[in-house]
Amino acid sequence: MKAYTKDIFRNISKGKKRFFAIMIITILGVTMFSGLKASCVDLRKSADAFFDESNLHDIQILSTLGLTDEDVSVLSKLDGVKLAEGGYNETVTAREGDVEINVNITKISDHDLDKACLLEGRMPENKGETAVTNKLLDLLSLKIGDKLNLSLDEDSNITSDSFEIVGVVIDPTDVDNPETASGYRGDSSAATRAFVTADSIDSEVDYYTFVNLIVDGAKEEFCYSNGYTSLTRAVITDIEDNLQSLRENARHDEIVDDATSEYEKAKKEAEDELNDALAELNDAQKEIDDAKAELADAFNTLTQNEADIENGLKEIADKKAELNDNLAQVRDGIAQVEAGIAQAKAYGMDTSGLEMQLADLKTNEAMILTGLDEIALNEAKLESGKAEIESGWNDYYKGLEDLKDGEAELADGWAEYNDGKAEADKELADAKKEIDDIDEAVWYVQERTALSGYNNIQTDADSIEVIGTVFPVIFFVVAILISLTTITRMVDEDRGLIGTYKAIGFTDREIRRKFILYSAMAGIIGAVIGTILAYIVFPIFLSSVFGIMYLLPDFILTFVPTYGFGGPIVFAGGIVLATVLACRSELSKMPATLMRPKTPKAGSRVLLERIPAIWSRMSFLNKVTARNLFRYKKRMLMTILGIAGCTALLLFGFAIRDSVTDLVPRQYEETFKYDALMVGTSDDNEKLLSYIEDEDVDSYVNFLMTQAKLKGESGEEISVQIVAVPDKEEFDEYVGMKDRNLEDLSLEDDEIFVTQNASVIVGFEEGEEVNLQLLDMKDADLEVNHIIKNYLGNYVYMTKETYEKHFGEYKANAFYINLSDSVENHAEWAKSMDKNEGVISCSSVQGMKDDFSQAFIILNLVVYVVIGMSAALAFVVLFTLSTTNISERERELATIKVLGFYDGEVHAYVNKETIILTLIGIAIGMPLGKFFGSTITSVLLLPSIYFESSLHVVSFLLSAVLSFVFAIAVNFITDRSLNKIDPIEALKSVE
Amino acid sequence: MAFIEFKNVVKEYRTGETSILALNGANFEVNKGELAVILGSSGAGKTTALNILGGMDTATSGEVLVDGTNVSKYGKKDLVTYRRKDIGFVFQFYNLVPNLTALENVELAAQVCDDALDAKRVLEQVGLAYRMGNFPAQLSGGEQQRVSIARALAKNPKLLLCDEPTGALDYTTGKQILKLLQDTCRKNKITVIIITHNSAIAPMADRLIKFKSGKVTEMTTNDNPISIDDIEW
Repeated sequence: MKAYTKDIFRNISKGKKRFFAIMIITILGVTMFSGLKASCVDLRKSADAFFDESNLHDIQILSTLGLTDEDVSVLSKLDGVKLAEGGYNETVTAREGDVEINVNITKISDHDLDKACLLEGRMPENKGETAVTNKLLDLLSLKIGDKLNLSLDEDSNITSDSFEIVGVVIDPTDVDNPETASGYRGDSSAATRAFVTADSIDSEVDYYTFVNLIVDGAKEEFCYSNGYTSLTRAVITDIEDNLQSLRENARHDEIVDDATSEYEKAKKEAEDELNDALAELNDAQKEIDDAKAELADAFNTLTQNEADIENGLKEIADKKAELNDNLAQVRDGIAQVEAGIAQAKAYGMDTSGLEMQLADLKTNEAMILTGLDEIALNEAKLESGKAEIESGWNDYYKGLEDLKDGEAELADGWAEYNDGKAEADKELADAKKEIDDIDEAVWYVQERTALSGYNNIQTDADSIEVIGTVFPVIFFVVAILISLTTITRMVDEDRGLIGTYKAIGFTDREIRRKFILYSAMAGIIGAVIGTILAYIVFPIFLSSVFGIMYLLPDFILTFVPTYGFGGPIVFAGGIVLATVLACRSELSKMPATLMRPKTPKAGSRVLLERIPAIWSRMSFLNKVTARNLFRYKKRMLMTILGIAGCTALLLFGFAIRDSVTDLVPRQYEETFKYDALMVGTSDDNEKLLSYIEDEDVDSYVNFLMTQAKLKGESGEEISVQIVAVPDKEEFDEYVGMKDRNLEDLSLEDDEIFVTQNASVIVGFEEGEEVNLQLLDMKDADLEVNHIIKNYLGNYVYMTKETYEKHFGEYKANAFYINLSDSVENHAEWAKSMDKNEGVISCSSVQGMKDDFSQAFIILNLVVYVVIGMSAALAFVVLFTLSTTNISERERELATIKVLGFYDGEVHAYVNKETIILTLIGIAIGMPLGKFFGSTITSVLLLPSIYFESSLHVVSFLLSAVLSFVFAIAVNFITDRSLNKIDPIEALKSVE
Repeated sequence: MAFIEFKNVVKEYRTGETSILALNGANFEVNKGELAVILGSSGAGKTTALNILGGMDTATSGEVLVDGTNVSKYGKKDLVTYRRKDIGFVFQFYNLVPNLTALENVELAAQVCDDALDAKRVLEQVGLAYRMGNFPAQLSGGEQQRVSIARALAKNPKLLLCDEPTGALDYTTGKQILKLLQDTCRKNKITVIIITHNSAIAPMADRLIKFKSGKVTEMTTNDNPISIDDIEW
């Protein structure tokens, strides 16, 4: 090896401390930079891998009127669509014991889209089997093998109300870990899915509740990248521009047509039936009329006949009487004649005449007798006729009665008919109205960002990435400064040597190489170690944290060239550049100048000297300190800046922590003044009321709370809770509403108040319009009247009137409750309420406060890491500067040692300056840190959390104390170097 | 045309208002292969002149001609080349690289030179065969100076410039060094210029140049230089 190179290496081993200082700063910076960025990339990549494997849909289309096979086929023919598949799901209630939750029963895709990741057991194969998520098992306290019991509506298309749980899965559409208080982070109330086979769904269902699209080439893209988004957005735009209204109208028309034809059919049927009935009734009427006529005839006939018979009988009686009279006469006659005859005979007179008379009379008699017989016959006939008439009358009366019954029946029949007709008319009219009321079909074309888990991963990764960009920058700046200082010092010390090299004939470049190699090696080794730490330690550390927050099956550790190489290159490169800069001034000098000792810096008078009152009172050593402080201006500045930077960083770390901790009192004391919140379905509202009317409850207000999506003009959307209050007055004691200037507000009709985080994320201001869309797709455009302070979650407040005006029927389903003082443990109370039937959730503010810490594991960790690193940074900075300081003033220090200063006094000589500079640095660092802290809101942008920056007095004190402690610690170390200064060696002179 | 020509060289140092003239129009000449001795008291301008001659400093005005070339007109890069190839410098305080052994120190110089001499041989020539592996801290003053000379010699320079080479050495050692220089001059036919404020060694020189207040007050040639062995003081 060449002699020159040997010199370089030996140089390194001689100047170990400095070498390590540069190395450590590089390690810290690179680790921070690559580590945080690598973690984000890993998180996203792991998510991407999981989503790719699950064939998570790229686009999902929902329709208010459902989707058809034709929709699917049209969609699949679109440019850029690789696969379109219709699917069916239905939200039902599942109950186990006291707990009731919403479950989204989903048919397993035939093409394995949105495939669940199997953790335990197996996927369902038969009807009546289901695979569910851990979230469901936890909520209902079930396990594999248990039965999942559902309450199905009448019009449900699920064919079974009890399913056997055969497997546990991870649902790719919902990767939020339910155990972390993800309630703050958006849609955790979304129903958990349960997967079933196709035969668990009624096969008659002829529509799809959603259509999933897989976009060409999307899988190959990284799902959070611009490439992916542009692919999917292209398809979405295509759908929205060319397809959507067509299909919406088609579907609407289809449904209207179907409904109308059914209506027509039903109408015709009804009409036919009614007509038949009418005909029948008319027939019946006719029959009755006929019968009536018949009866009338019969009556007449009977009456007539009766009269006739009576007359007949009367006639007969008369005739009979007549005849009997005649007979009597004739018989008398006969008797006379006979007597006559007898007499005649007696007299022997001619009887022939009498005999003839007799014969006539006898003939008459015979005739009359015949006549009487005839009459008797006729009488008998008439009598039997009378009997007939009797039965005829019976029949008649019977007929009359029958007729009455018949008429009554007919009347009923008419009544029925009329009722029936009226009903039919009404139903048809209703049906017609319903058909007319059929809403236009509205399509909702959603990207993956509609899935909360997907979104949260992106947000988390983004937040951390921001921190991962900001901090390393600070470290980088410090690293450069340190390198500059160290190398300048080295160059200074080697001044004569550089002169010699130059004298021997070495070029500037060759001489510079020595220093560049020194710093480059420190930087490169530091960068390599930093990269290893970043890629191995960091992701493992953060993945265990991410594992708590998300349900991804695997975490991938990847090496990203941009950061993996970028970090080291930037740091090492920067250090080398600093070196070149540091060498520049010395190398430009002539060898002769270099070999002469440097002119000592001219002393200068200090401002303080102009104030004799103070100056004359100061001890000599203090005067020296005062002068020294200003003598080395550059170093003074660097120390102050270094300390200020560290204090500021520490403060920033504390600011994050304080902002997080302050969320609780701000949200749960200032904003949410209530003690508990109980939510159910609107149908169960009465039930809930019954639980509340209890002595434990001081006061309550019943209102409507429902989930909605808020979309701004920018197209950004966010999940919100709509709170519609019936009585605005008493609401104040439950929810504190202040606008951003901290002025109190109260709700008015026709106004909506939106929480501030939504306005930041979606990007709207007071006076602008936003679109609110409910779960059932009903939506309205509303002007934001006020933006109010809120920290957790996002809410839109409005009055009952406003809600009814824009969204229809107002059905209360929630209660804000103030508990009486007798209830000591609000959390317990809420838990006991939660178990009641009809209660979807009951939570107490107290309980939520307690759970709060869970949600911010990541942030707390980041804070501690930041603080740790700031500490290390402060340490390194102070150490380097102190060391430089001492080596620069070696002669001076050696001289005072020779003069007879005790070790302690020598320490004080140096340390006084360090401490004063540290104090100044801390003083400057405080406002700087406060400023950094105030940027937290924009740095930590989470959809459901508004980090209002806050810094407690304690944090300021802590930062100051910590910085100071580091200064003292460094002083201890440098004290040892001070002790090592050998006056003799140090004072050896060149001339 | 002499090998070395110093013509009216002025070196001015300015700090604000004050102006110090280290050289105030110095003139001298040295011929090839001569052993020249520059005498003068402290502050006379001897080192300044040698520095300029050796390309380690630039003149404010005037001309310096070495082997026909005007060195004073050289830019930085040319100066480096000049120093590299043509000059061998011996310092009063040796200026060895503390991290390198004696041998390595000499090899250092050899590195930059195309036609360098073998470092080991040169060290042996200066009598340090047994000290090659020692660091400067482990060598005595005389030994260090000899390494310095070896370093300068290894470059095979045209010009060997020595600034008070015996200033830090005792009488005997100093004499040895001077002998070495004289022999080098004679044997290797190198032009050697020695600065000293010891006028006793003047007789050893082929040429004597006297500096005073930044000017050359006297320049004399000696046709019969005496060997240093014969000079006592």
